[in-house]
Amino acid sequence: MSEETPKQPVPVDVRAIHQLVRLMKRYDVTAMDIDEGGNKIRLRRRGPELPSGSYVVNAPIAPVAQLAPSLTAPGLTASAPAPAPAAVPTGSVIESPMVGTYYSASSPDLPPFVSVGSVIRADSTVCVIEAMKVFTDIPAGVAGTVIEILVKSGQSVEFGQPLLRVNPA
Amino acid sequence: MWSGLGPEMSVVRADLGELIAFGYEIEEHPLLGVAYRGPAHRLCPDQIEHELATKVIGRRIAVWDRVGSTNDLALRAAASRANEGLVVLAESQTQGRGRRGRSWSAPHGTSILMSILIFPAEPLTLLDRLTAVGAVAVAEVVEEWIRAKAQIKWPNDVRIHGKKVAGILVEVDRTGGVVIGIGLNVNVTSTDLPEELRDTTTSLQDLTGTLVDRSEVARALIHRLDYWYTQGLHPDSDQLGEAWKLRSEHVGHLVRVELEEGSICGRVVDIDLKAGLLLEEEATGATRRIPSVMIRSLSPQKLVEVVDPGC
Repeated sequence: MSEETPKQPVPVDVRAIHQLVRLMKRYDVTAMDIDEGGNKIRLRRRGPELPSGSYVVNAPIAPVAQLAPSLTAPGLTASAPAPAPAAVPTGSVIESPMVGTYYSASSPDLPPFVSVGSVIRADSTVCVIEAMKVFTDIPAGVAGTVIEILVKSGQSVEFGQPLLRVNPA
Repeated sequence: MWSGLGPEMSVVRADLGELIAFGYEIEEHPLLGVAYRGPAHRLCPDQIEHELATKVIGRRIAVWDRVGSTNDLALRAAASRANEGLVVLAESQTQGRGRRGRSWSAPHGTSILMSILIFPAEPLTLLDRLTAVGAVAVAEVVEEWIRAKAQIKWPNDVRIHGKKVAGILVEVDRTGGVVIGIGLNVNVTSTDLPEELRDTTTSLQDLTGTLVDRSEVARALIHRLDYWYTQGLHPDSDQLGEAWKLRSEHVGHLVRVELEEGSICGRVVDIDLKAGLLLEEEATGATRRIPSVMIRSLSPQKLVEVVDPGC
């Protein structure tokens, strides 16, 4: 708890980066540079239709490491893999935006928000995730029909963990 | 006495009549005049709002008699950002929620059941702080009334000598609205409580020995919530984390932590809003950092009970 001496860079919390990436997606931010306590983080993403994989994280490898700009230039690493993963027949997946405990209903005696076959809109709540007693409603983000629920109520979920499979409308 | 007021007398009379009708205890004497003898048994919106002077919280105050849940009403208002700062209070609720699966109920007119609506920037990155805002604000208000230290059980129950006086439930809406729901036992007596809760629950009246003016408690709570919301949420400030840690009842004590992969017992070396727990494991003596979000629950362990095979 010694905030007075920020000489040594503090290790970056991976979850913090995950959250940043999620916020970039959410607000459609394509580029972000952060310089904090000796850590430089550069995040880039291509577009809203390519959710992940298109950002480059320059987490602190060593205090000295100011990686050559070419390494982190936008798009370089990102455009290497084939941009179109060719329409996956299994539908799109709703991922957990955070770490926490997954709940399928807002209360144990209430019916779940969605079940297999439910028709959802992009703004439908599909579940609630709890972390530190804060309960967060999770929107679908995609319209369609639920074809599979991949987690159980009460289960811990990780950032990016697939929660539901949806057949987009 | 009365005649001294001249023509104003009828106005004062009418005002007094209204206060009495609302439920304030006012004693009248034909010669000595009138005296305030005690608060109304109901929450009084005017008393709560009078010269409140907060920045955000309390811009609008709604007092209800009986609602499903104050959190639900506040969440409904989250549809419009114009409702930021809304405070919903109720005398009783029929579907109050505590921690998942448990209900929160109290006899009519005995508690503070309050939900506030705020729109912090980036609620998801602030989970730890949102939890603490309610806990610290409630703990401070409780301390003001009982003139003793209140403790916070991880992450946000407020307890006095191990007995719960308040619980907090935070919900984040899809619109980015955050509702902090508070249930604070004020004028609840042990006879009001179900048998199984008497040893684990207390109230301001229990602790002070007097009937407490709930409207004043609500005012104080709004003030502290407004303070921490406007000052304490800033990521560069660790004031909130310090206030939270200062009241943590776990530092130096044995706890059992439930993680997804199982539970561990150990002594809490340090507790930090951002970094989580620093735990000295009972079994190995090793010190281990556990991020807050990984902790499903945390319960204090009494020394004599460490025979638990799970430890």
